[in-house]
Amino acid sequence: MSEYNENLIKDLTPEIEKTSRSWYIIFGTFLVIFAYGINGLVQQIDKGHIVTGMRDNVVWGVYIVNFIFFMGLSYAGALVSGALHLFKTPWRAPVIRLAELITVISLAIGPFFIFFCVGRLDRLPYLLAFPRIQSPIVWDVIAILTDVFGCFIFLYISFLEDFAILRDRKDLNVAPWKKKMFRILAIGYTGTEKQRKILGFARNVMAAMIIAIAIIVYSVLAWIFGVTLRPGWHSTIFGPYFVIAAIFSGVGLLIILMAIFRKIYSLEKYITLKHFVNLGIVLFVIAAFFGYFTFSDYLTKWYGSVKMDKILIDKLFTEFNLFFIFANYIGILTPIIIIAIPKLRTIRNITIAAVIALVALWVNRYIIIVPTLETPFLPIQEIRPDWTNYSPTWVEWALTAAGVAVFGMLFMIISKIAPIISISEMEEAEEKRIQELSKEKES
Amino acid sequence: MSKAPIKYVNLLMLVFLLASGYVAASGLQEAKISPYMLFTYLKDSNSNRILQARMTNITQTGEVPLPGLKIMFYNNETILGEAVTDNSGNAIYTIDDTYQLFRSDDGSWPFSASFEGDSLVDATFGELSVTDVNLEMTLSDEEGKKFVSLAATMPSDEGQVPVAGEEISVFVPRMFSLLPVGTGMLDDNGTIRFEFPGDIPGDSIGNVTVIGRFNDHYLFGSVEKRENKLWGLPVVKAPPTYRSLWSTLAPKWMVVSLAIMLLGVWGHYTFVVISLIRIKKEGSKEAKK
Repeated sequence: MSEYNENLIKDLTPEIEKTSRSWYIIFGTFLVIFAYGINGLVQQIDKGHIVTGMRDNVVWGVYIVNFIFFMGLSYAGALVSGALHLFKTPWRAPVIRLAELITVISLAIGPFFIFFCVGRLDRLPYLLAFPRIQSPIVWDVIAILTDVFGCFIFLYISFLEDFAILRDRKDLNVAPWKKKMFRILAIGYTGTEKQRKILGFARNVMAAMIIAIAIIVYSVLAWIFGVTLRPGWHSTIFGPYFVIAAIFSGVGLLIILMAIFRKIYSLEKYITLKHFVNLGIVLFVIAAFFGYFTFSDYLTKWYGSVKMDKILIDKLFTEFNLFFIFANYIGILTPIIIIAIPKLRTIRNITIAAVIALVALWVNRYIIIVPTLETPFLPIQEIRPDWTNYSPTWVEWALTAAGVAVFGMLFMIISKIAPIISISEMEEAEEKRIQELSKEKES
Repeated sequence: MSKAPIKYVNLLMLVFLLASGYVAASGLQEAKISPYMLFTYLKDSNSNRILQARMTNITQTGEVPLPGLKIMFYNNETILGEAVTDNSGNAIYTIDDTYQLFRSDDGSWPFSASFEGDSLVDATFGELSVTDVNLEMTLSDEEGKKFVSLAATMPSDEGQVPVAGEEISVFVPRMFSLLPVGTGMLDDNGTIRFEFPGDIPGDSIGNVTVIGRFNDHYLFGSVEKRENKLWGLPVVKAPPTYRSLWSTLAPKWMVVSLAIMLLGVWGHYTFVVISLIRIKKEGSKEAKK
């Protein structure tokens, strides 16, 4: 094994052999937040949904916002990793694994927010026992289940070569169960020509599938809103709009995670400004598309002046104006400006732009869901204001924070058992680089 | 200072006050509804004699029915009975068969209806004179064609005489009103024959109600004969259209699309899983070597 590969394994598997103190501290912090969320959940199970801000009229709140947000991150991760792999993007190596992990981890968290939102959890199995194919909710259940399997298969086959590398490292100082796990998960992969060929083809197939599934599944989620005759939701462009929004948030999160892992695991050698700028350009393009879709959606609703649409738009421009400005102006324009001006393209600035884009996307989801539910078609008289005006409670915020904490915890757990940057991809990239260098020398 | 201007001012104020009082009073009077009564007579298919008074308030936006008004019905000056207007503003009174109605010199029955007024609605009345008429209707099929024959007679000193030269029509009831399918003048024998059109939609098996009728006639009021006949075109009701996503079964296109997509996706998954098994087998082979 070359010196480069030796260093590569050491650098990219910093937590596999030993656990640092900072790992325990960060994990412990996440655990406390998670416990706080569990406390909120216990309160909710004990007292019912009255402890949330959701009422008869506004039946969806932060939970559904989180569900859509996390699912969006998942699909974006799938789209980005699938596209990077399928198009053999030269700079993909340090990025692709993070995108794959975002896909699976977000997918593992998102559906839990549905469980928190459902009042009668005991009836949830009916969705599977008595499915009505014509119900968009059933489409979503089928789509998410299909997506879960696809994402896990895709993640596994992308990990396979790394498991084989870790299995073959005799000097790897890890617990016996980990060695056994690497041996089992490597399924006898030794990198023969035939195995490489089969694996390469399978990865291409899954990369293509995962892109298609991500687009369809997130469109299905968008159609839950699109097929509902509510002001602000009944829109034909919601499918592509949601897909674009998902990619926007997913690329933003990818940049943030790159910055975090680069910092805490000292991966400056592998994750460079080039990767940030490249992903920043993707963020720029997607921000422009997202802005276009947002403008198109609101313009047609505003110009149509259908009574309920007009009431909703007025509400967005008054009661929710700060949310609206942040989500649809600051959140879109900041990444565009930062990336458009070459002088501003630093790792810090691009990361800040990504953070703003990510938070803006969450707020965007909030103003898609809540103001619409606060604008009922039928006028409601003599009703308690809290039934038509939603305000999230600490329970909802606690569970939201717990979702974010679990996201971090799962990332940290995975970093204990597998490399967070694909070793095999990095080796392949290095081999290509050496080959190109030797070709240049020869010429 | 002369007192004359003050006098004029006082006079002016008096005129103003009087005018204001008049306007206010007339305003109060205007607040009371001035109703419109449509008083009609109908002799139906069973020879029931029915008086109907329709009470409405005619406003700028249309006719508004006046319910709950008590209407008195008279024959000449004798009270026949009373009825209260319903939600459509109709007060309907059916004259007892056994009642001997007063006839005028010309042989007609003088009827009147009156509303005595209340705190909200002004009093009003309506009157009409009706000459009794007997109408007979015969429906026949001849050589594939359908005919409606009507014969009308009226009482006179010489007994029943034909009603000649009066307009009469054939109707079929439709959803909102009576559809005239033939109109003509009675001949000297008091008869007329209409060919019934063959393209009138009936019920599910083709039943249609045929009505021979003097419609709001100046002498006879409304007099009609009705009969159900299998003369219409059967109308098969279109199946109720549901929003397909709410139907019991999913639309076929949806089931097919979903099946294709799921088979496609899960087929690829299966292929990848088989690939992994092949990789494992290949690994086992290598290990044995």
